[in-house]
Amino acid sequence: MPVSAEDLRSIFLFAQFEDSELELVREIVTARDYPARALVFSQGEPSPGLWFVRRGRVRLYRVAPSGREFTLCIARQDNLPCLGACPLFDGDRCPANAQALDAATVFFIARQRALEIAAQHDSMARLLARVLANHSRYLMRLTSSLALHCSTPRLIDLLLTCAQERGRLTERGIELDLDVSQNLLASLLGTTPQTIAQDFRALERAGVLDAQGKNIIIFGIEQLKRMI
Amino acid sequence: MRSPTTRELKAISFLADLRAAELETLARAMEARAFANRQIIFREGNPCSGLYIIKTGQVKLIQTRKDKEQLLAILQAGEPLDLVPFLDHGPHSFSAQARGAATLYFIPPETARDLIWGTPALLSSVLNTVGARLRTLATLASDLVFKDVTARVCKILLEQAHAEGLPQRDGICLKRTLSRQEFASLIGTAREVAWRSLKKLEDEGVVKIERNQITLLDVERLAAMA
Repeated sequence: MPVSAEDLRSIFLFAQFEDSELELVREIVTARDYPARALVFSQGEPSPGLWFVRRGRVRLYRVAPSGREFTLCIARQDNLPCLGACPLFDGDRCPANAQALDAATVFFIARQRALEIAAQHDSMARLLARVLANHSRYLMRLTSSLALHCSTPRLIDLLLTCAQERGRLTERGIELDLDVSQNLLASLLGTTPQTIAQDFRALERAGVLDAQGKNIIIFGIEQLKRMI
Repeated sequence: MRSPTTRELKAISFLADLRAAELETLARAMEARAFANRQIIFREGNPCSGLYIIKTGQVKLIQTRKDKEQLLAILQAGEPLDLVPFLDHGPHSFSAQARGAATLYFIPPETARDLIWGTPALLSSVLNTVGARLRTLATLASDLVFKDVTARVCKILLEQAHAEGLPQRDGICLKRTLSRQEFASLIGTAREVAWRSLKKLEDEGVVKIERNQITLLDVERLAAMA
């Protein structure tokens, strides 16, 4: 499917591109649709190129020999939208699996074409640099929180981020809808669904929030911040 | 201290793809800086302080949350320190500390940024290195989730054996260069927990712990447990 310049610009990484540069990208990019739960790429496969999430959510995850899954991140149009930057440079295999969580549209650029444009056009090189930097900083925070925190502060950190991104201030407190299931939440926090359920009950007992399925109401955001 | 010669720089694999003229420009912008044992080179959260490449010695990369420390890696001669700030103008995302006396090649931040973005071979080397580190970070994060402390201890021992192990009659011998605290924070756990796990491996006859060295007696079993 062809991709329009406006479509590309809607991904913030392309927002600063000149019209002529967007035209170059438009010539080599294709849009691909994935149904919910479809695999976009698999760990260990040679990497064909770069993906930019335009619509829906794509999760990047690893699977242990035991079958347990760990979700490294959830890519969206406005959060870590570009996948595949890591094998782009070393030419090595995909370090993780990517799966569409909802019906997703993803823009794809073949590896060689992406590298050619980056070699000739500063804005593409800067885009790739920014993607690598964003992923680096994200993974740095993730490893330190996995190494230094137990699951409760990691859950609180995630709730605070969600509250900031899409919390609604109501008379009861800050309301937010978690857009992930308990299983996905557990694999995102590197723990089990049972532990997550226990963590939620403990936070409810402490009176800082109320969790009804995916609906969360945070009563004491300052108290929650102090609990990290 | 004096600037390095292009020959010294040519020997650094991070700079291997640069042409002679590019290395000369780099050498002119560089100076060698000496750091004492435990001296902080830069701190997490601070603005980019420059481009550093290790000339001699070792550097620890550390993340700190409240009073807890995670040792991300111990870098060796030839390796560059933080490169990410040159890609996004952001601050340092970890602290760097000299481990023993160390000498580092240094270029001030603005000059380094201009050189990186003005030298395609250098930019490509920076992007490759950050890409490779991203891969390592993803594995580190997954190990913290998938592997228990014993498995992570086994993995660190095997990695050390691969890097600096000496084959001996009864197994592979590792000099104990890491302190107990360093060993634990590399594994991402408390000192006592890491030590208990190491002692358990000794009880099971997989390793032998002595004052100055650890001998890996059963590498296959260690690999199966990692």
